Amino acid sequence: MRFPGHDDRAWHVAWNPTRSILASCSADKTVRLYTYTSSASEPNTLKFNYNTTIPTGHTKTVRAIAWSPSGKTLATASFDANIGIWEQEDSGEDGEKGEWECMSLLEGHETECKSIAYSSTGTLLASCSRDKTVWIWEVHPDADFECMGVLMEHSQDVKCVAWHPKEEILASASYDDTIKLYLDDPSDDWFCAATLSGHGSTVWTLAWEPEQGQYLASGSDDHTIRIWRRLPGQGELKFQCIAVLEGHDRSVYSISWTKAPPYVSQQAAADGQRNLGWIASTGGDGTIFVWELTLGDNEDAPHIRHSIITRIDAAHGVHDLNSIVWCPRPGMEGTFATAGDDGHMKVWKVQRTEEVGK
Amino acid sequence: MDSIQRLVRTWVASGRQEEIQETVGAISAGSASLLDVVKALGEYLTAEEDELRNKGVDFLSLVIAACPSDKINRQSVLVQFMCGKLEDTETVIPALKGLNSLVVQPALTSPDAVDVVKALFMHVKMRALVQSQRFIVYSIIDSLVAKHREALKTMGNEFITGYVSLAEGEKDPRNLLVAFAIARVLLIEFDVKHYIEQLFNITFCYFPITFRPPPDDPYGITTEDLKKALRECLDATPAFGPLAIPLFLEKLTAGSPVTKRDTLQTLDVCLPVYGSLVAKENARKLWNTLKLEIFQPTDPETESMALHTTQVLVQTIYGGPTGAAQDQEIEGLAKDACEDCLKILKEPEKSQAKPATKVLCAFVSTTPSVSKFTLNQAVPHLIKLFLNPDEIQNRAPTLRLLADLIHAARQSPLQDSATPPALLPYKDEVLGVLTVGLTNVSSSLNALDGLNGMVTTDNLLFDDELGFVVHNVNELFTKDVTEHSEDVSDAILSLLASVSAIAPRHVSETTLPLLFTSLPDIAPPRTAESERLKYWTTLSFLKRLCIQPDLFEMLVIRLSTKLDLICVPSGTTLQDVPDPEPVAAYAHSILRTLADAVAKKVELDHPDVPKYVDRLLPCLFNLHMYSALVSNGDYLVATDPRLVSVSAEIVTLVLQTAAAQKQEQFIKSLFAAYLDGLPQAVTEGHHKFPEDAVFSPLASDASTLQKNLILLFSAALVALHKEVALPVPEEGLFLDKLLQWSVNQADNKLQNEASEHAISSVLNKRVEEAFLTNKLESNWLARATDTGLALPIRRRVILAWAWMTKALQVRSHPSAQRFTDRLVELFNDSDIGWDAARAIGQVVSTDKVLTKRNHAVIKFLYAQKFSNVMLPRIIEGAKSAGEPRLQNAYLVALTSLIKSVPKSAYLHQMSSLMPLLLRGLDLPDSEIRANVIDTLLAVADPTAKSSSNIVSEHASSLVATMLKNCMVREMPSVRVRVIALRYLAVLPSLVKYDVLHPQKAMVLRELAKTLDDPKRSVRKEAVEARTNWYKYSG
Amino acid sequence: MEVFNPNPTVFAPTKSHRVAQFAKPHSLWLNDADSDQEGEYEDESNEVEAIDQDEIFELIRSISDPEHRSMSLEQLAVVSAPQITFDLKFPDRVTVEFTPTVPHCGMSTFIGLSIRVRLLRSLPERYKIDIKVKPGSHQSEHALNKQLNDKERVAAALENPALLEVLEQCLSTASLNA
Repeated sequence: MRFPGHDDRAWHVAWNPTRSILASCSADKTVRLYTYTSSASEPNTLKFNYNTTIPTGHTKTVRAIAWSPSGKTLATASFDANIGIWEQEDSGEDGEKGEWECMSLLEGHETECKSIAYSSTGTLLASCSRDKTVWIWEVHPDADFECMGVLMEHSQDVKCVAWHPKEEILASASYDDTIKLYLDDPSDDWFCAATLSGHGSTVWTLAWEPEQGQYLASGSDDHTIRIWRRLPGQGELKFQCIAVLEGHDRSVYSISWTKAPPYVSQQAAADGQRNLGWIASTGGDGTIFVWELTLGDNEDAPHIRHSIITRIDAAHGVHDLNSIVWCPRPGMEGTFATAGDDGHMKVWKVQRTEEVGK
Repeated sequence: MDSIQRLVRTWVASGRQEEIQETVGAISAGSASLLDVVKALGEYLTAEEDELRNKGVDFLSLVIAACPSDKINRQSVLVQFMCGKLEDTETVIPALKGLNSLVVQPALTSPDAVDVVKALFMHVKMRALVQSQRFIVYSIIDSLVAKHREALKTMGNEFITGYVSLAEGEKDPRNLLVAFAIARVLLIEFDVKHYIEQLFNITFCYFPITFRPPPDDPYGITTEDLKKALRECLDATPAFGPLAIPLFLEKLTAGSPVTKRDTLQTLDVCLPVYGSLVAKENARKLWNTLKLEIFQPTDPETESMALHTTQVLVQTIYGGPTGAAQDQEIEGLAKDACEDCLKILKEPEKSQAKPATKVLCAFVSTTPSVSKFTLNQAVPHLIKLFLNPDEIQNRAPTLRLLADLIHAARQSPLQDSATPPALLPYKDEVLGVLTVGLTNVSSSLNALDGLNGMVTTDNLLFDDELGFVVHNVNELFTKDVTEHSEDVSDAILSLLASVSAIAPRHVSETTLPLLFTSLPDIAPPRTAESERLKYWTTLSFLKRLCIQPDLFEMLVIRLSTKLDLICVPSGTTLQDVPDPEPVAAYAHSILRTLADAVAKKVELDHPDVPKYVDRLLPCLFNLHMYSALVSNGDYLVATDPRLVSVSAEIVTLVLQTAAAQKQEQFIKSLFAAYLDGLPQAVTEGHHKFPEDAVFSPLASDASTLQKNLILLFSAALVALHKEVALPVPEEGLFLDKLLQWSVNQADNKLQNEASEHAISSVLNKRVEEAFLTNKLESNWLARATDTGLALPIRRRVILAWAWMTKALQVRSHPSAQRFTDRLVELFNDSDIGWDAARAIGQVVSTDKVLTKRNHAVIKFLYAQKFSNVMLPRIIEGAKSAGEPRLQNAYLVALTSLIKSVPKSAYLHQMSSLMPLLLRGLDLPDSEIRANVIDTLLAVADPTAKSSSNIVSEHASSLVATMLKNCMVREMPSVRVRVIALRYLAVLPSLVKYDVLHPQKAMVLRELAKTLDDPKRSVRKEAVEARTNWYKYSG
Repeated sequence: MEVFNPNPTVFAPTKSHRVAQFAKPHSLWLNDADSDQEGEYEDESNEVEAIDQDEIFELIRSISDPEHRSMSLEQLAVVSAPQITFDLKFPDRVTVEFTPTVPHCGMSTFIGLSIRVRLLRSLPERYKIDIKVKPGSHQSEHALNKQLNDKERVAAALENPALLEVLEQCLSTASLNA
């Protein structure tokens, strides 16, 4: 499924977690919003409608966007070093929602802001930039934000930040080829609790295993995806690389991790295995992979199995894909969206038959 | 007397011009005198009231200004009076006016002059006056300086100091122009040795001139005026030198590019004046600054100016009488600078070597001594460098520099035929290294260039040395000629051309034989690509080399023999030649070579061309007629129409240069051959026609091969002078015959066109009225609508008609219009409407038949006249003719007409044309679309606002349709895609950004597709277009 | 501005590689110069002429060197046709290698960027370009290559007006009619 696209490269897509809205952002400095409905008659099909365009007013590329867990707020990260916080004004009667307006503008980064993420509770917002820093903001009412810490751990620009699905653990990936994890010391500031090395080049993207957050996946310019397992232990964080997924033949720009649809996990359980869900990945080769990860029942000596359940070449024609995101909403398992250099966004669904629809 | 009094009173009240005139009238008439006026003014002049005093003096001044000189008596009294009035602040201004008129009076005495100046200095406060009043002061002084210079000189210092303090701080451009002029006189004529500093201050403070003329300047003073006037002060006296140089240096280092250039130009004029002493003292400093501009240039312009200033500096230092001495020891700047450069030249391959050479080359054109010195230093150095085994890899750049020096030495103004060439002493070594350089691929290009420089230097090389050069160049041929890159071949040719201009013998005796023998006697087979490329290259050498008469004659002899040999190989029959096409192709390229060479000579008006009417043409006729006769249908290479066409070209080219009576003889035999079946008449050569063979190309039963030879016949006819009568009883009947033949008998397009060309040409030069009226009366064209006839025939009728119309239109014959109208009548025909429409353009399109060189009768501006009549009609028709079919036909006519006339003919109608042209771009015919786009390109002029406005109006539709026409999916024609992209490429320069910026993103996206076009030529344009759209911004 | 190489070696630029042949390719016959006015459009067939090394080289050869604006990348032998290579497996993937005039040349990033931008604008979108410095030709080779092929950094750089201006100047000399 394809939509009237941006005037320039589309960088990132984001599903609203509570409402039927899909957003994309682009080098054309705008954010485009689409609404969708699934018809009862054919639950497998979604109807998408272009809703509106937010001009944003950023003076440069809008690189990344993130919805707050409440689905009320949209944050935009731009190459102009600023972060925009957007909410939709209710225009009272007829419940008709109104314009999206900028509630506040977070300044602080010195250079391009490249990624942004809300913590699971929505109380924290993290951002990162080419200025090598990661910022953590506390979210107060009325779109008021307070900077809780500036983490200067990476030696090069920071490409991506990702919050743990349950705990307040933040992961960041960088041009310096490493991944760093941060914890909040109640008595003190945020600090770097672990550094994961192993990738041979820039780490572009991160994704936590969504259910327990026991695993972290990372995609890199070295064409591979690595799966890291969190080792048991109080307070301290330890991770270990337990799998390297190879298949892409150019940079992996984006990965996304979702829990598999019920029918799959049940099947896995039946086979005495634990399904860890699906990872969708894409990048400079224009190819989409969907990997299924399963775990042998033996928790102590876990060995993870991964298999490619779907491969889509030239997903956006000749163009790079910059972003791939599973829809997080219940009942929408197996649906993901992609954004590419052609300025377009596409939505795909993994069918039972591993047939790609729409 | 009373009358004057009355006049004065009324004027004081009214201030009208009349009273003044009346007063002047009275004085001129002698009924009153200026003195009376003064008396009459008495009360006012002494009045308490300031204004009255002012008016009093003003009146007097106005009267004086208007008074004829002979009536102005008692000069001195008036002068003294006015000077007195300068003391009174209320009367200063009128007094100045008065003086301004008085000082130009012939009778003004020197003492008066001095008094005026003194008074000015004493009483006039310039600061207190506005610019127009100050202007009066300057004019007064200017007049005095001009008329009473000696008197002022006697004032000595008083005058100078006085003037300096008076002129100090002047800002107004108009006043400055006068002030500068005065200053120049002072500097040159007056004894100013003690005041140099003051004068320096009141002149150099204006350097550099940064004045920007205001848009509404009433005096239209330009920056250049001021610069010029100022420069004439700055270079007025050597005494400025010591003060000026430091200032110039500062401006050179600190200034903007503009200032730098201004300073350099000023130095160019000042240095010679300041003299060698000053130049010497500052040589180092100056050179170091100039060096910067040459070695790290801000821009090419400044760089070349800096080079020139360097030359001036050197000339100033060494140009003096002492400098003239050839063999004096060169010390100082030239030496140091030379050494600087030579140091850099130790690394000839580095980027700094280029500017270094530029400097040395500049030196070569300064003074004889320096020139000699420079060459003494540089040439041996480069030769040494070249011969140094460690520097082998740098031989190419070394020779490049050497070549530059050789050319510089040759072009040096010091180099006249009287003096021996500066390069003489090193001739042998240089010749040596250059010939060595020839042998190496990397350096051969520079070597050739260097040799060319030497060859073209007068009195440098002796004849045998020229031979030596040629010999060495020939060596290059002994290698495979196809190895040479295009630019090496060019260099070889221009060198040989230079030689053959001086001594053709060397080329004709050594080079040409070499080339000729390298031409195979038997055509290389189809598969032998490289062989073919080889003879192509050889031939292209020959055709460019053999322009000089002697060489050309050789070319004709050798190639025509070769041609006979190839086309009619003795003793072989067709069976021996399984694949004749390569043979034909080889013969064709030989003919091509001859044709191109002749064309070149005709272009250069060489007098030796006509003689080839007898020497070349008969052989060609012989060859083709023979082949046509013996072939009885089957393929003989010389019967190939492609060959015949080229021969036809040659026939026209050669014959057109012949005089009328020569043409007459030739045409007689030609007609004998074609009409009376006596081919021998025009032929000569060793192919003997079989006795039984009949040559009658115009007969209805003639073989196609014979018919093809109509091309040669026509080629001769079109080249005739208009005086030349055709050797037929009735030209009208002959034309008719030819016309019928062309429509009904001709087998192919070639024959068809050839005969029409002949008809058109004859008609144009020797109008056959009877023939014309007959055609018009019978409306011969109407048969084009005869559906009974085959469509091709009907088309031929139109084409023939178009050619006849053209013949008349070109000479603005009265019947021309009626011929055209007949064509328009056919527009509505469903089959041939568009053909008729296209014909409209053909009527005035440029062609190779009706040309001045072919002695056609061509009237000035005939095309404009034609379009003035037709364009409005056609536009009207395209807009509002009945049914769309007719409208489209008019549209077709429009596109074809507009393509063939100069844009001046329709530019003024662009606004009404544009919508039609856009419609034309939708017509299903790539030819038409191409015409439209070509037209749009022709009128696309970024500088002309008017046209761009029209473009802006239609910008978005233009973008849309051009994008459609440049996509391979929608437009199969490569040509249309290419020009559509070209138009998209110019659009940004035609339309303001705000008009099109909404499209920008879309256009860039669409153009991205054209980058993937299958054809390279299209992609090339796509890249240019897309680049321009990226640059396109507000 | 720091000068990295005040006096670089200059190489003679070759004539445009695809000089107009006086013969049509694979033809027996010499072009008839004036056989038809539309000489330059003679080949109306749309048979595919694939983009090759030389054509890509034509695109970048005349870009000016940022340090010596009067000279082209070709003249300084920073780029050359043989340094342009196609991936055998994926013909749409091209690697363009360039050679800084000196190993400490601080302009290299900029040169690489200008090459990338020129190709971004002038090659079909299907092409994926990798730009690398000649192995061993630059002291910080790895960092340079990494930066030049980080699409995010390139994109950001192209939104920097100051840098873009210089870039456009260097590209303005890039023309196919050299």
